[in-house]
Amino acid sequence: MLLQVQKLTKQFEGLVAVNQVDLEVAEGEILAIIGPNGSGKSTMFNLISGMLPPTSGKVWFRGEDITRQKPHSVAKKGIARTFQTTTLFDQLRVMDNLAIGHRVRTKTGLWDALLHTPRYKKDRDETAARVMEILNFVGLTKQAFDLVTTLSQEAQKRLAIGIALATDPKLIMLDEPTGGINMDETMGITDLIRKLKGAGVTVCLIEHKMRMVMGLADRIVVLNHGTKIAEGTPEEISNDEAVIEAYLGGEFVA
Amino acid sequence: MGIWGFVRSKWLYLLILVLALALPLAHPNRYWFQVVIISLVWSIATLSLNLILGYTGQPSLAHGAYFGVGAYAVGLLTLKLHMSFWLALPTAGVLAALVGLIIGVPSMRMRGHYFAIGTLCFGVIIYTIAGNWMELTGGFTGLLGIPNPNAIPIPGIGRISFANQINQYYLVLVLLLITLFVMHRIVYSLVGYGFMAIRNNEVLAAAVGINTFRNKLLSLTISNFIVGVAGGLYAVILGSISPSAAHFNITFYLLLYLLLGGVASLAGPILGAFALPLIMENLQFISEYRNLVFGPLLIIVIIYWPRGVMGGLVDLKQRVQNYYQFRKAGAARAVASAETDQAI
Repeated sequence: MLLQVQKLTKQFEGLVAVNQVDLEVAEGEILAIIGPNGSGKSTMFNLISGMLPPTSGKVWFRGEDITRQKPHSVAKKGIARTFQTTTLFDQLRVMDNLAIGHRVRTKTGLWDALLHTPRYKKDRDETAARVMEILNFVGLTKQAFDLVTTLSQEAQKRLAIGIALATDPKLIMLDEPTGGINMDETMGITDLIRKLKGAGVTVCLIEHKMRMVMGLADRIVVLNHGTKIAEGTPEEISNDEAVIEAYLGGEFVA
Repeated sequence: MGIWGFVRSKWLYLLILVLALALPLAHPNRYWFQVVIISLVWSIATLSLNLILGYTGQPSLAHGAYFGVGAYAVGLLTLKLHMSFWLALPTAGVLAALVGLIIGVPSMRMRGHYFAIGTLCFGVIIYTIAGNWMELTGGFTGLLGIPNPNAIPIPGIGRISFANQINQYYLVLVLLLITLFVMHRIVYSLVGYGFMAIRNNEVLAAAVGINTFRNKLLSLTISNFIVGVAGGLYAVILGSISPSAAHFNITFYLLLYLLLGGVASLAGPILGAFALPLIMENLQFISEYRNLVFGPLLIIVIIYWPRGVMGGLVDLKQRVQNYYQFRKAGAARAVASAETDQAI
């Protein structure tokens, strides 16, 4: 197992946002986490990526206990994430955003920068090469020099995925990668996520668009009120009584 | 090459450098020459504030105090311990950086406005200590008779004395150039990217693996070392200092120079640190009412030109370029945008 979550619980005062959830992500798969608003999906991401400390429970990544580690250490271990509201370095250009994403894999320190040591040059050239690769991968080569505020919604979503990818992750966690964009653009992002899988990156995503999830995910985990109520392939989930009851409200047709 | 080509090329900066090197040939009068030298010192201090505030996004309002620490360090080390100025100056930087660490580590637990208020309070404490620790600092009388930098012997030629204004000018100018070089190397490197990532979005910076605490501390330490050196230069150029060298007024002047000149650029802080003291000198006749001019000016600039004069110039250039592009491609673009409207 790439990622293993055991009995993860997060309590905010009286509210239990995530309750004793077990979760496993296998290497190379696309796992979708779905559930109604407020079911604890984003909180799960925050707990795994170290943004929030869990009340109890454990998170294991590649056999190592990463519970309560700081976000920057989690990123270094190989877990990258995006945010529900598209989050970018918005005063900078597209290529700068990607270069910052790759910073975690470089070792240039103050003295390297001041003296332009061989390490500085190696890191600089490697970063430039990686940025070119990712621009190409997410389809933003033409906008490389644009300020991110001038990008379309869809391009911004691509860039957010690009920044995560620039950290050279083993697991990429996408929080609603297609929130707020139209059908055509959603298809584009879906293709990009498939491409991620093709490139050997494991994907865990939160999504609301059912048609997209059913076509994309290898496995689905359903949360409701912070508890896992179902887990399985898209077919199993779309036929699951509890899921239809809790989330799909009976009107879903596969 | 149009005017922008000229500005972007290195020729403009080379021209300014040549003019700066040749300035003593113009035999400026003592008073104005002193204003220029002190402006160079302010430039170094403003560049240091620019690193932590402009590039890293941390509004450190204790910079006046760190400046004072540097000034007192050079004053005390050369006066009381008879240390060589050339050793005292880097020591002043190190001391300012150490004080910065002591203040900075607890302050870093606060963010944004709270960080600003917290550091401002620490700055006031340092000013109070400078004014009241009679045995060490001489209280509000301060330190008098700080010696000139020791002469540098040059084999075969003689000695470079720093008793005259011209050599003091070159000393400060060289240190400003070194500061600019260091800033340039930092800002245009992966280290600088790390700082800017924190300014832009601290949460995302952490999520992509940037150790935000360590990077903020690094930026603060570099910044404080440089402002400490600037304070040390200030002490030696003036020859005497009082607690006003650690007053939060210094912080606000540095802020004023930085914000008016242009945050997060390398030319902006120098522009601000030169233009404003010169304007202030010319406004001597309204003396204490000067702040009535600068207060509203600062507000206007922050509202309309949030990135200062340098940022404003870049925006202006962008607008002019867009205007010409629009005139060229106007028709085609209008059609294209109408099509996307229909698609939605």
